[in-house]
Amino acid sequence: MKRGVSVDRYGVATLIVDNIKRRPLRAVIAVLSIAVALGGAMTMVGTSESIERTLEKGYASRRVDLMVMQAGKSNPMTSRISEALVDDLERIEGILGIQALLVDSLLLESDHSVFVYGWPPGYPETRYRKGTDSVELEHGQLLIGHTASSLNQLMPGDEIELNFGKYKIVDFFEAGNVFESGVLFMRLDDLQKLTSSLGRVTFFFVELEPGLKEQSRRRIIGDIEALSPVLKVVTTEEFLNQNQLTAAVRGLGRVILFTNALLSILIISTIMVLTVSERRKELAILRAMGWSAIRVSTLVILETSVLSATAAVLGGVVGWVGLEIALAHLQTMGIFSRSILTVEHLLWLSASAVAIATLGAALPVYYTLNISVNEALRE
Amino acid sequence: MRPLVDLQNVCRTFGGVITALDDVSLSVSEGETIALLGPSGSGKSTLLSLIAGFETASSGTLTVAGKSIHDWHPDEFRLRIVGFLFQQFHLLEHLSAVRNVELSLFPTCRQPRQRFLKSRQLLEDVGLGERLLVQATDLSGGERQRVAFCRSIANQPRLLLADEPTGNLDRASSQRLLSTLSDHMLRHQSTLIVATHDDDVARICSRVIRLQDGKVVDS
Repeated sequence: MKRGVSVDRYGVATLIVDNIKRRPLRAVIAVLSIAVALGGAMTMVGTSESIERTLEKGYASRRVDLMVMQAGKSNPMTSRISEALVDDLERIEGILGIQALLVDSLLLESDHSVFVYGWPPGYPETRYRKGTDSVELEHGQLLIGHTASSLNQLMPGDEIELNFGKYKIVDFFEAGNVFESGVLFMRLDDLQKLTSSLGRVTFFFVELEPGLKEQSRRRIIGDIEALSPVLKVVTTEEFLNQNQLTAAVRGLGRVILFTNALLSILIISTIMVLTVSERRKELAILRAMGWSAIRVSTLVILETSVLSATAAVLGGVVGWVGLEIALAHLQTMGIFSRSILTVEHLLWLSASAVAIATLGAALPVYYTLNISVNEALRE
Repeated sequence: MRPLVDLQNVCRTFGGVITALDDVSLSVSEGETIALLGPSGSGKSTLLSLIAGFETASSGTLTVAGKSIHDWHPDEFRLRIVGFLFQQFHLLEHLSAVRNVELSLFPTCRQPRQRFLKSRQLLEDVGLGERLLVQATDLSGGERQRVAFCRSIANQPRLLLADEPTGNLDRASSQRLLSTLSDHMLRHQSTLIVATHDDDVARICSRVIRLQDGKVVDS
């Protein structure tokens, strides 16, 4: 016999790996099932997170801290408030900047509806490149997001009819967030006229002085809402939470997360109960040799953990691929979002693996603890 | 001298109708080698299972190493006090000879290398030095029982219990195992209780206890 290097290194890890390798097909099926379940949940949660974070970044890049809208509107896009309120808002201490925005949905000649944003002149996003200069949009001019362009087969240079008015697309708009790639942009006064909303806007975006304490922010919100009973102020975070699309995806993500986690626990539990049942005699031999119940149970828990951890890693890959596919699909629907994977997601995956291993090991451990050494050895 | 094993009026019944042991009283001193002789169904295996703590007596008292068996922690008891040699060997079939012995050392020795060295030494002592890495299923019956023997004494128990250890062996293998057992008992002054049909096994023991229908008929 060769007295080799690894021969004398038989430890718990080797024992566990050996045990798993004894039933390769079962291990592979368990790992793949859990990986798919975790990956599916991660895709859903990742999609909603990615959309929300891309939106957050978009608002952050515009320096939007608060949004002022009409109270009592379940769909914020239907909010209409007086543009004249801007003068009152400017007088409130702590407000650095205010921007009005009108949003409406209009029908194209193709009968496709499209969101149109109306920004007042002077807003950075109303500028486009004409020749070598960056100039403001003029009356009758439009910018188009890339997704709106590809969905509606419209390009800069095209003329379109909106509510019987002729408009010319002069350039692309480089959207910074999920939705704006799918919309058209025009001057605020053009859109007000087009939608019979003279003097009305959908939101005011409010930028606050940097470094304000929570108490000051609350005071500003109170001051704004005191201007008129029809006003409601939300933070960007609250606004995103109200967003129907992200709320739907988030809710669906949570349901899938819960059901898939439960499914994973049932899969690993079933597999390990089966394994323990088959290894009753083997575990009884260990007990007869003086292995404590805790030591034998630890072996079962560690085997469950190795399978769950492997599934979590694989589930991470499945989830990431699923997320890319989901976001690419959403993009074809006019919803642009970057995939955002963070340390939080990795921690979430690790925590899932630990939870699945712990809960999944409970029943097999119960079976292990109830093995009668004498009976098992007689089998 | 205090006995290592002491049974007083021990009964063991199954379902209240089958009496496997009936009012058994006996004492075994440290260093004694005892053969339990008797026909099948006489209660030999049940008696060993009780002493090993695998089963509990229906009535009577059983004291091992100075304590009632109920006062021992089962794991500590199996680890430090008793070693058990089974007729069917009960090796882990997918593991090699040395791994089977190493497993019994997991609770008492943390270092994998120390476990390996000790297991190798034990197997070399019983003539299996060249068979360390052979899987249990590829060992002969005699070799398997010698591996099982090494496993049962790896943690140096004070009492070795053997249930028909030669029951599944041919004559040559039986002789070899008996010689190994006698050598070990002589060298370590260990206590052995062996249940057997085999007169050759009884001959290596210092005392013979005969059982019939669950009763001690001759000690």
